This record gives sequence, structure tokens and C-alpha cells, in this order.
Amino acid sequence: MSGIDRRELLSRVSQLAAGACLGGSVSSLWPAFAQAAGPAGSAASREVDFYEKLSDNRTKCFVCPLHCELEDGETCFCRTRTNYGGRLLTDAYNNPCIITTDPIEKLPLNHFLPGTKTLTIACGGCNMRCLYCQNWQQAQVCPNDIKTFQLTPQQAVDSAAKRGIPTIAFSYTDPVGFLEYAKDIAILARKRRLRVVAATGAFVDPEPLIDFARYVDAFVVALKAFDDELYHLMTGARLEPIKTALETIKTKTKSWLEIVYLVVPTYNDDIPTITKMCRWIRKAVGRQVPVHFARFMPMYKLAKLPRTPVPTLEAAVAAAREVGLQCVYTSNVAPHKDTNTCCIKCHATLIQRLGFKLLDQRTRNGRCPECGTPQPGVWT
Amino acid sequence: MALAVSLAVPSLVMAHCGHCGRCGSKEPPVLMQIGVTPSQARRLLPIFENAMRLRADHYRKMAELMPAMLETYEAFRAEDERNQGFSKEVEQATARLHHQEIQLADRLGQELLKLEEEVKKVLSDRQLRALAQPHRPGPGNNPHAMVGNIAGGNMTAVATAVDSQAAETVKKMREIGQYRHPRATQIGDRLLKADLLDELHFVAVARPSKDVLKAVRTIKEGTRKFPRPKYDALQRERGRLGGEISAWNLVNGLHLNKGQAVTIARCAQAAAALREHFRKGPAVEGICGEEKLAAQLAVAPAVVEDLYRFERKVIDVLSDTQVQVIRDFKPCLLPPKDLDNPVRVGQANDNTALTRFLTQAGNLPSAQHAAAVDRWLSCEEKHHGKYDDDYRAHRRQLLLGTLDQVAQMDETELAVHVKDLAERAQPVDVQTELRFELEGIFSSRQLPGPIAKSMLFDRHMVKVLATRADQLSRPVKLAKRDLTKGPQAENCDNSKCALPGRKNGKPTR
Repeated sequence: MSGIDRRELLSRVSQLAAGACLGGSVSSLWPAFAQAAGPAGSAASREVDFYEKLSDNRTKCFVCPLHCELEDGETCFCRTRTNYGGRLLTDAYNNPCIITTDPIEKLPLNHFLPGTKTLTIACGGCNMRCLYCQNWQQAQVCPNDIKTFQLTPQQAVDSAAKRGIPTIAFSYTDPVGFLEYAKDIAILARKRRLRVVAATGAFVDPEPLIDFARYVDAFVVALKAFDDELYHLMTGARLEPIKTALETIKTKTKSWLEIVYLVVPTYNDDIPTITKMCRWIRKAVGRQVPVHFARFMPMYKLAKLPRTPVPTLEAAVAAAREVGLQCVYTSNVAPHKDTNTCCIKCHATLIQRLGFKLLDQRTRNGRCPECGTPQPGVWT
Repeated sequence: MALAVSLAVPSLVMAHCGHCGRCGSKEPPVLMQIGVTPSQARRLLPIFENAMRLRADHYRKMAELMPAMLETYEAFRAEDERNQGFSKEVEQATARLHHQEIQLADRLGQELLKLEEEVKKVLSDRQLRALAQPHRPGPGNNPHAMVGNIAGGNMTAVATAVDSQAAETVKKMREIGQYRHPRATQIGDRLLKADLLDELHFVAVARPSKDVLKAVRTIKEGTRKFPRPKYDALQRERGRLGGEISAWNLVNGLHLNKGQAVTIARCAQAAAALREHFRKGPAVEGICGEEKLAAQLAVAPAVVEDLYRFERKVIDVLSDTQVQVIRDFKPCLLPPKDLDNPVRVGQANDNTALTRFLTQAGNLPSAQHAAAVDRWLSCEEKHHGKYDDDYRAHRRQLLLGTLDQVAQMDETELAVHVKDLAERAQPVDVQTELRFELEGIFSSRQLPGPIAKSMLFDRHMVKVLATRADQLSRPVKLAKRDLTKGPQAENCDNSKCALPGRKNGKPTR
């Protein structure tokens, strides 16, 4: 019995029993079983929308640019999608590891219903391997390997609606990892007139992104560097697909977009490169897209780096403004003047923030009370 | 016997004032002052001996702790000054030593308070009232103290002298402080101190025991390893470090820019010069004593007004949110989490202590809820001060009701609701309410308030701000990293994207 615990034993016995009853192999039983009760112990599962069935029960996933090819029983790099007998199923479905309420500013979204709350949902797993991952206990594990909750999309939407929370958010871990679950929640949320926002690394193929974005009101995209080699070294992902995703959100969806850039000292804090990135942002997604320069705190595999010096953040903000970006912020630094929202025309302070708390909000129907200029964003 | 008293008492009077022993006052010794009889003195002796043992024991323990404490606090101060976060080792060591230091002081305070209760059984009400009378009357009645407090920037004392409501508020704040960190009161400070050894034994007509003599010697002269002068010097150094660290904690949390740092430093310098000038009094030949004091008092309102103006100037330089941070700041060795490492965008696990309590206690059988709530309330009182019976009963009811709600929820429901439940079950922050009350009084009387206290009257602030301004004028250039040598993120470049060690969604090993 060594090497097998009681749970494992019971699971194997039940598989054999089911196989014996139905006269088929255990692996061929999995998909049908999974649809009802979920694979690997999860409550229920769902087939991935974007994948291809290959010969010999192999599959190829088309959710993210990694296009993982899997043998039967193998799990994707994102840790959330597994080939069960030739069908690619998500292990994250109905299986969130975090359900909580948050201020919307925590995503960070500064131009989308400021001062409101979100019901935030996250599942284990991620298709990136960021060296500084701040939620690595959730993001760098498989959904079934951590404590999770049972929450169907209907229950998630009911919960938010019942409590008058206007927005459902997918954050903490990347919704690309649990896209199917997030999409089903978003569809139901749309029917209940709830807003949906997603904080993502945007390492995703355009087709699933466009499909998901039909139900998403706002995206926060974490752009992690502006050099492909550095991107690859820091996150395991590539820059080009993320640039494409940002352009896709801007040009092919109606979703509001904000960008967050974590300034990691000695990695991506080079101001000329940041200037170059801001020029690209201005050209590709527009100068009114809010950009947040977030302060790095020693974390995960970069625990020995110092925090980002505040003057470095200020230099990044100055560079972005110099380039012509109109809504530039610092994050993870409070108090700081650059956490406030100012009018894009007369620069009057419209929203004063201390951390995620709103101390004062002066916008009127999304307009500056001083000069009447409409401010970019979703205000009502 | 009568002769002995008449000879001995004058020498005692000359030796010390019976209160602080340093102020040079020629008041009669404390026991004579309050009229302690020999029989009372004899009953006081064992209490006094216990107090001396406690104080000597505290001295020895603190002396043991002191070298490590200073070394660690200095390292902490240096990291605080660099403002690039704390190393785990230094932060943990500082927290541990600081905790030990507070625990030792709290334990001594608690024990002395118990002994004070014993003293109260020995002395009459009249004697206790006399003992509780401050040796020097408050600044309202004492122009010397008023001048000293303005010169020292102790505006709370100035406010309490001129405003009875302020005095009442400060009294309440002190009561909370005393509950959180018990310390000896006037009774302990005046009766249970080493300087009283001779006087007490004289009145009691008794010889001090060897034990008590040894304890008193330890208190007064220190141990062989740690003589008193060395201990006092280290204690002063610890005080300096504590003050400087606190100033750094505030300045780091404010994220001042160079212009702000320079302007505030200048204001603080000017305010210090003004206070010093006021303290010295008019430099007129022949003017001294009461005449000098009268001249100082005549200009006192103008000095206070000028200090108030300096405070306004500092407020003008700062943003509203920075002012808010200063108002909320309490002097500390370990910076509050909100300032040092606030919850970050996209950061999971930001639960408060109350949400954790509700989640954990909600899982207990309902029969255990009451005990859990009582334990929790005791912890709360450690932070917020002793609750009165009505409020405690109200909070108990509220928390028990909340736990009942929690118990009826499933895990998922609880995860969604717990932050709201915790928000609704938050206790009233009496300290903050009192602080706001006091600030209102400061403001209505145009007295320099909390901003002046932290930014103008803190004796470390000028140095700290000057250093920060200097740091900001030459920002730290971090060396460019050789990225090939550091950690590299995992990837699936070799087209082997499948997660190793898993089969059918489960780990294989």
C-alpha cells in the first residue's frame, strides 16, 4: 500500500468499478464522467472552447500562444486544462480558490466606476511564470491542489446581484487560466446587468480573447516589460502576443482598458525603454488609456531585490506624460499625488485617493466640475 | 528618638526634594510631606522591599537585553534610512527585541500597580490624595511649566492648562494608554523608588535587610557588568534610536519629494530657533528670575501664534493625503503596515484579524462561541482600552450574533460575506475619536497641532528631512543587472508544454 493514500485508493477502486460495469477502459470513461462530476475530484468540468483533437487521443490547445500539445492524461503549462481521453477539459471550472469582495481600485481600475466594489473570483493556475508573482500560492499551483470553493457561474452571479455588488472581477490569478469558467460567469452576469472586469497578463490568442471580451466591460492588462527577451526571462511569455492582445482589445472590442506596469528594479526600470513603451501605447491604444506604474515589493523568486525607489516611479510617470499619455498613475505607493485622478484638460484634481480609499470624488457624470471636459472612462 | 529626627531630617531635606531628586527643590521628604507614621512605615517596608527586588530584576534583564537591542535597532535605523525595505533578519530581530522590551516594562508596571494596591491599604485617603498631588502643579498654575512646555513643543500640556475639556480628553487618552501598557502611578513613582530607602527605614526605625540593600545598590549603581552610568548612556542611545526610527518611519510613509523635504526642514529649523530663543528669555542685562519669567509669559501668545503659522506653512506644502497620514501616525519602532507595505494592487490574502477570527471561530461548535468571543474581546481591549460594561455587553452580543450568522453559512457564502461582516462588527475606535476631539480643541484655540508635533517639534526631524532631501537630490543608481546570471522564468520553448509529474489532473509522485 506504500505510496497510495486512502483517497487515492478509493478513487482507483471507483474508476475500476465504473470501468468494469460499463465494459470500457478507464480513460475512455473519463470525459463522460467528467462532464457530470468533474475530473480529478472537482465538482464539475467543462470542455475547453478553443482546442483541436489530434490523432491518438492527443489535443492541441488554442487558448494561449503556447498552443500546448498534450498526450492523453497530460496537463497544459497553465496547470488548468487536462487531456482526458482525447478531450481537453478545464480543471478550474466551478473550482475557485478565491472569492472575495474588493474595491475596484485594487484591480487597479481608476476610470471604471470608481469607489464601487467588485466580487472578485480567482482559480488556481496561470500560463505565465513571473519571477515576482505576488500570488504564487494560488497562481503557481493546479486548481485541484489547493483549497477551493464550490461555486457555479449561476451562484457567483446570484451572490453579486443579491448583495448589490455592481461588478464581478477576475483577478489575483490570470483569467486566461480559467477562461471557460470566467466566460460562463460573464455571460450570466451580462443577463443580470452586472459588469464584468478582468485583470490579465493578456498572454492569450486573439480569437478566445475576442470571444471572451464580448461579455467583458473592462480589462486591466499587466504589461510586464517592453523587450521580448526580458519578457521571456521574467515571465516565460513573449511580448508580441501581448501587444497583439492590447491592440485587439482596443480595436476589436468595446471594453474599457487600463494598463499596469510593475516597475521591477534592475529588470524593467530603464526609463528610455519605458518611454519607448509609452510611445507605442499612445500609438496603438491611444493616449487616454490609463497607465499605472506599480511599485515592486520583494517577492517570490525576486525576494532579494530592493523595492522600487519612488523617484524611479516618478521618472516613469514623467516619461509617460512627456510622451503625451493623459492618465498616468503610480500604484502601491500611498500617499502620492500621482494616485489621484486629474482632469485631462485643466488638471484639476477630480478624485483623491489614499491607497484604495476614495477620499474625495468630484466628477459629475464623468465630467470635470471645473471645465466640464468629459473624462475618459466608465463613470455611471 | 526625637533628637534623631531633628538632626536627620534637615540632611534629608538637603539631599533631595522627596520627589524627583534632581529638581533642586527644597521641599520636605515625601514621607514627612504626607505624614507617614512609624507604624505605617513599618507596614510599608515589605512592599518597598518587593518593589526594589522587582526594579533590580528589571534592571538586570534590561541590561542583558540592551547590547543586542542597540545593535539591532541601529541596523534597523540604517535600513529605515535607506528606505528600500527591511531585511527579514533585521526586521524580525527588531520586532522580537522590541516585544521583549515592552513585555518587561509591562510586567514591571503590572507588578508595581499590584504593590500600589498594597500601599493603598496602608495609607489613609488624605495621605493618598497628598501623594497623588503632582510635585509641581500643572502648567495652568505654574508659569515655569507653561514656558517650559511651549519651549519644549509640548502643546498638549499647554492645551490642558488652558482648556478643561482638553484636560478631560487627555485624561481619557492616558487611561487607555495605562490600560494597554500599565505603568506605576504617582504612588509607585514617589513611594516605591530606591531613593526612599533611607527615609523609609528612618521613619520605620528599622535596618534595611541585605537583600533590599543589594537590590537598591543594583538600581542605583548597576551591576558589575553593567554599571549604572553605562546603562544610562545606552538607555539614552536607545531613546535616540527609537526617536529617529520613528521619524524615519513617518518620513518614509509620506513619500516626500525634495522640495517638500527642504521646505519642512527649514520650517522645523525656524520653529526650533524660535522655541530656543523663547526658552532663553530676553537677553537684557540684569533681568532674571520673576522678571525674566514675566517677560517670557508676555511674549508666549505671540510665540504660540508663530508656531501655529509654521504649522500652517507645513500643511500648505503637503498634500491632503500626506496630512491625513501624519494625523493618523503614532510614534513607533516598527512602521505600521499601511505605511511600510500597504496592500498592493492585485494582492490576494489581505484579510484583517477580525475576518480571520470570524472565519476560524465560526467553524467552532456554537457552545464554544462565547469563550472565543470573550478571548477576542480581551485582545480588542488590549488595543482600544478597557470597555465599560455596557459597551462590552453590546460588543459581545454583536460578535455572538455575527458568529451565529457565520455558522449558518457554507464556506463559499462565508468567503463572499466575511469582509462585510467584519466591517459591520468593527469596534468603535475610541482613541481616534479622542484624538479628533483634541485636534478640534487645538484648532479652535489656534494651537499648533499634530502636524507641528510630528514635523516641527520632533527633535530628530530636521536631521531626517535633511538626509532625505540629500538622498532625493542624488537618487540611488542601481547597477544594471546581468540578466543571464539571475533566476529565469520557467517556459516551454522546447515544445514540451505538458506539466511534468501529472497524469489525469493528479500528481504522479
